[in-house]
Amino acid sequence: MNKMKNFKRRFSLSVPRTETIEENEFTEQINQLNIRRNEDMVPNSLGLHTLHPEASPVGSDPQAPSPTQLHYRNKVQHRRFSMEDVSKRMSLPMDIRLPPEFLKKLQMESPEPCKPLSRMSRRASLSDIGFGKLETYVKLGKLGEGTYATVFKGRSKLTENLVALKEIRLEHEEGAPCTAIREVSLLKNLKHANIVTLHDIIHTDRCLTLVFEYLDSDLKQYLDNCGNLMSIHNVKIFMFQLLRGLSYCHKRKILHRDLKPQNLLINEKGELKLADFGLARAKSVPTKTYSNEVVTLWYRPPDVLLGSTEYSTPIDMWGVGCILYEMATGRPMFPGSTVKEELHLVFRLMGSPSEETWPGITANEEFKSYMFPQYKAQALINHVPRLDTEGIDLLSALLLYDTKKRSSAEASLRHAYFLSLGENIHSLPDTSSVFSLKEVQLQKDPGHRSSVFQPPGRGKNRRQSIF
Amino acid sequence: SDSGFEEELQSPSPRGLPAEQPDRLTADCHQELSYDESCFTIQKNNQLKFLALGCLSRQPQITPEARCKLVSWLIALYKHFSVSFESCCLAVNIMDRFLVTTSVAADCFQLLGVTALLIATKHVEVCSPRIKQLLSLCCNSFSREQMCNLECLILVRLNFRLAAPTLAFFLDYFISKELSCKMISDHEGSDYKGFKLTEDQLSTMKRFKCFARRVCELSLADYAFNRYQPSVIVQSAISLTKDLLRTHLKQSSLQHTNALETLDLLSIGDHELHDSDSHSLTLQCTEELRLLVSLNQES
Repeated sequence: MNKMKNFKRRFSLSVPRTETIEENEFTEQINQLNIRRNEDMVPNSLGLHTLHPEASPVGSDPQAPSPTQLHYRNKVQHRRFSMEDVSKRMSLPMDIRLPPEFLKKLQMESPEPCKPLSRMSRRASLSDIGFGKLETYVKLGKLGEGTYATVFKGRSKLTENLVALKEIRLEHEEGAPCTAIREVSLLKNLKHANIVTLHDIIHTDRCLTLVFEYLDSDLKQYLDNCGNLMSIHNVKIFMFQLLRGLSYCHKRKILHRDLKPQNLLINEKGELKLADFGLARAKSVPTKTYSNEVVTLWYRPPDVLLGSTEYSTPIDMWGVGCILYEMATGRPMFPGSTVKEELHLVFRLMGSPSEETWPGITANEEFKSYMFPQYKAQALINHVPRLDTEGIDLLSALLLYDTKKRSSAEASLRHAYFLSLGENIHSLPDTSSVFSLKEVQLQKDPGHRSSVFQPPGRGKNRRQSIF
Repeated sequence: SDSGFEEELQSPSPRGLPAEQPDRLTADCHQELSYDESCFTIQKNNQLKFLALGCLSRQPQITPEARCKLVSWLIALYKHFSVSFESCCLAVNIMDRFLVTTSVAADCFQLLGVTALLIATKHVEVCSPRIKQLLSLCCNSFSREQMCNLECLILVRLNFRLAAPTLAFFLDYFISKELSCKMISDHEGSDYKGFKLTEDQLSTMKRFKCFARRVCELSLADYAFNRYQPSVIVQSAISLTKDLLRTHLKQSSLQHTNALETLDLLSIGDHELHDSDSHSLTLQCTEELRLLVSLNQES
């Protein structure tokens, strides 16, 4: 503690500062290397409205700036375009070529010697055609609401594509929610056909809006919609896609931690994508961390239920097994409402754990305290009669108590269960859908009322998950 | 001493370090090897993209000395809050990368540092420090609003790219890798799982890790090391630590012979640690680190 006081003292000695900071000075400094994109945003984002507008507009700009716009004395002056210019451009269709003088101006931009800045200016030019701007997206209707975020269905004016707009409120005591920070920083690194794409991030005064690709349905809804009777062939295709996305995450040491049917989005082509990475985290440090309140009870592995915090990739694989069961039978596997009930359901079906199936369990105080009766493992085939032998084998491999033996995503993809999907499916590029292969096609679900696929516009029933 | 480096040399047990980080030295390093390897490769390849080279070169007011003081203070902070070294490294990386994009006034520099720590802990930890606590450690010179606004600005400027490879990651990786290599080669054919380090060996290992972390912390604060990739710094820090600790143990009494033997556990990786292309860079970095350590020992 002494040491820290030391640092503090030295620091404040070396950095003389007045009692209150000159806000102007702060903004001005921050603005010095400003890029065009941010000129209209920075003052807002700093919440400072007491700035003195600079009297003279930028000399080289032929168009007078609108009166509402503030100018700052920038040491580095950038050529800039009036907002009118930009909005005119934005209302044009997507395939418009940028005017030649615009391109010229872009090229004339002061050459920056260092890399990140040039990336920033490229980003800035993207913003001129509408990326990063809220006006680019039209809200169509609310999909759901949570403590931190509201999700809207929307449409991009640039591409006419449907999008999901996740608005995260920033006015919290503690600033930006950590779930949002993690979700964005993780998703930015994940580019895969079976992981939901983050198109854009928009930052306004009070909100951070994440623009995701829009998928019409999720697995929960899909099951509801086909009367909980899915084609067993489609189960396999969905299962493969789930494992494919998960294997990609796990290779990057990213755990999802919250797998459940509601978090598996499905579009009209039958493409399945992992969503909601709010609880996920790049696993790059030894993990004592995380409370054991992370996974929805039904899909939570017994080791976590018993208080294990040694989280690693097997934490997700138990849930995958439960989801396979749910798709094949149409009902959740272990729908417990308390930890005790959940464990009880698991042990009753899978058998009481022994030192053999779960090394160390007999010494687990938590487990002993529950005093569960002894159960013999039941034959899974009796509970999932529609699944073939290979399917049952995979299911058993996923639902192993011993985390070290539990099948990994990578290994599961190579399971004999998927042999019928052909060999090509294993050599697909990350960003290609499994349906880019001719041999992979959905079948009609026997329980479905009208067509195989979801009718559009069922936004009201949509159970969009929100953190 | 300034950095507390000397104290670390003399006190046998680590003090003032975050209490978490259970000994992962022995735990599951065998099973997870392939995952660890793939993670390492990804992190290693990502390093260049997250390097904030010359982040002060265009800062009119921020000097390397000011950065050193701020980072030293951040190091004290992360220990104060008992958050991981990972958070600390990430905070410095976030700060440096922000400095590349934006000039910062000297009197806002502290706010930048503490906000970077806030973001880093939000990304890494289960519980991050409260904003109120952070502000009070800055003598309440800044407001909550300023901090939240700067937080957003940083996130937007960095385009939410926060998954930077850190010294902490490579430190964990290299040490557990070396150890598992040694353990496997020592106990090939015999019962691997039955092998456990003795209490003595464990404490030496702990001390070694802690010392290496100290060296890493010093390098974090020194702007001269801003140009090295984290994996290079960690490799250098590890070999320097071995060197210093060995010398130190030899100088002290005989009762440390056990510790010395344990230290040899780690010597196996010495040759493979330096792959050819980065060899000279690592050597150079090691020498600079040696200088830095000796400077801090004297003061």
